[in-house]
Amino acid sequence: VGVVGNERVEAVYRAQHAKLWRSLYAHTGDRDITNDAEAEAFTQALRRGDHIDDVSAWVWKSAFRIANGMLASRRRPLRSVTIDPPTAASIAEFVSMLQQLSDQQRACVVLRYVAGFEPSEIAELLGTTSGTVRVQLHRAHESLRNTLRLDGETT
Amino acid sequence: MTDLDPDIAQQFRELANVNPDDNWARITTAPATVRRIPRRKPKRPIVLAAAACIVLGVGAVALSTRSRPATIRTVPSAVEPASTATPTTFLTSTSFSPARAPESTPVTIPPPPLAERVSAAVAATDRYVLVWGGHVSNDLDSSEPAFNDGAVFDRQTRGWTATAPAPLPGHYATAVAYNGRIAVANARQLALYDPVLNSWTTLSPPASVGVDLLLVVANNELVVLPVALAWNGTSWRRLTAPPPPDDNYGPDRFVGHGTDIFAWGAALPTGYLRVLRYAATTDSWQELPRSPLIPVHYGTGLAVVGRSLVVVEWLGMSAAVLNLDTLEWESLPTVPHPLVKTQIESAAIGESKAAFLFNDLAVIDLNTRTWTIHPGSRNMSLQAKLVPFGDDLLLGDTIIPPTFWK
Repeated sequence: VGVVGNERVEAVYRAQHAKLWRSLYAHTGDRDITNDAEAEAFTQALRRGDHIDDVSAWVWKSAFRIANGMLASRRRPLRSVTIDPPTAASIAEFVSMLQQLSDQQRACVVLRYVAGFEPSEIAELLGTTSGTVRVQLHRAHESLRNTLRLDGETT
Repeated sequence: MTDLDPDIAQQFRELANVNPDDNWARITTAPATVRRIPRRKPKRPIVLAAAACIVLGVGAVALSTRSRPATIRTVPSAVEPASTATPTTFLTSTSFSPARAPESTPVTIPPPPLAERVSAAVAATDRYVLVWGGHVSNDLDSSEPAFNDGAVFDRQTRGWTATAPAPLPGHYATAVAYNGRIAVANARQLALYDPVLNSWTTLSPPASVGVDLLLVVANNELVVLPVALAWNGTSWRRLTAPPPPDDNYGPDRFVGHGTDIFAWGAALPTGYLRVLRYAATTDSWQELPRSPLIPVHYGTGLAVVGRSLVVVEWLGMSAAVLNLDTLEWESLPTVPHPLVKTQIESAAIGESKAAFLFNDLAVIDLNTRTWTIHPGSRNMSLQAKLVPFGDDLLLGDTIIPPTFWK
């Protein structure tokens, strides 16, 4: 891997890491999977170096696919979200709430509202269509709205 | 976030307060484990012949007795997809991909008459396919109701019939064919289904089978893993268990082959490079040499074909084959496939070919070291399965109907 490739990957890491990490965390609800998926995607990007045209797009796509693979392979109930000191309880509760969405709905809302991607960009990342992304965003919004309303009624 | 309710938008904004862990040091110190192994190259004339045979559906047996070329003369190149046509009716639910049947295209069978569900188990004897169990949604929760019903497809009548209710619910359902019957399991219980009698028999192992169990058949025994309990049709015995995992994940994929069991998975970050072999003859596990694939978490495909073990990974589409006699790895051509699927289903076809389900079906002929791509499974979900069905391969989606992650 050339130095140029290393520098490109590191530049993407510095610019995208926080947003990618938070997006993966919101998507998986699991710090370990988040760290593993992000590290794996960047490690593979480093190994490919100059062979990758768009490092940012490649890393986002790979990280989410790696995370989805980890989630799908974990043939057991989703672990509860770890509430550790850096994560406020209210945020952890919201991340837990996101886990009630389907994988695709959750990926769509996280990529839209945490990462800030447009529906067309999300469609490219997830290998689907913009129309499907919009439908999933709408359904996810409805689901979150209902969940928050129910929580409000019971507290 | 103007399209969100204010309270929901506020929740998303608060995620910006989460402090991310810094992984850069880990990324830059990860071992570079890609190894280059000299490729063994086939004779070119076999390439096109093999591709044509697969398309015509007569390749598996015809080439199974061909010996490997002794000399290296040409560099193998991956063949183009056999067809670029996008199927419209293929695999709405379950279908055949004949390995040697006279059809030149896969045969679609009707969807099983089952209610909507995800993660159903599927297994097949030479004549029957059982689709059983599963649960309501993808958000796995042990409190979620599970289905105990199933359906059986009979290849002679080409029709589905409902099974009698199983004596166990189908959470985390798994199944494997065993001596003409089909063993099923959920996270804690096992049962045996007889498709001829349409009857169930509860199996009672002598010890707890734990959770996340998997079933394989090896040495003509039904083996429950990872607890390593074996049933020979009349009695149970305990086998040597796989070595303990290096981390919290453990080997999570197993395949039975003859008297052996192969296990892989676990041990981040190189878990899917580790392959363990259990030999019934010595009741012991042996770690095989690490594969030369790039280290990728989750989703390596593995198939045992004759005396060869073939592995592929989805991130770089690299592939390699291990000679089980000499225990030497050899790189294979990269899978010529533009799509990825993070859970790679795999199956052996005869004694010379291995099939891997990415989104399409990729088949490698070990005689020629060439890949053939069979389009057709792109409408299937990540939960699609690839199951040997007599001399055919069965491609089925365990999400019914298959509408998730298209």
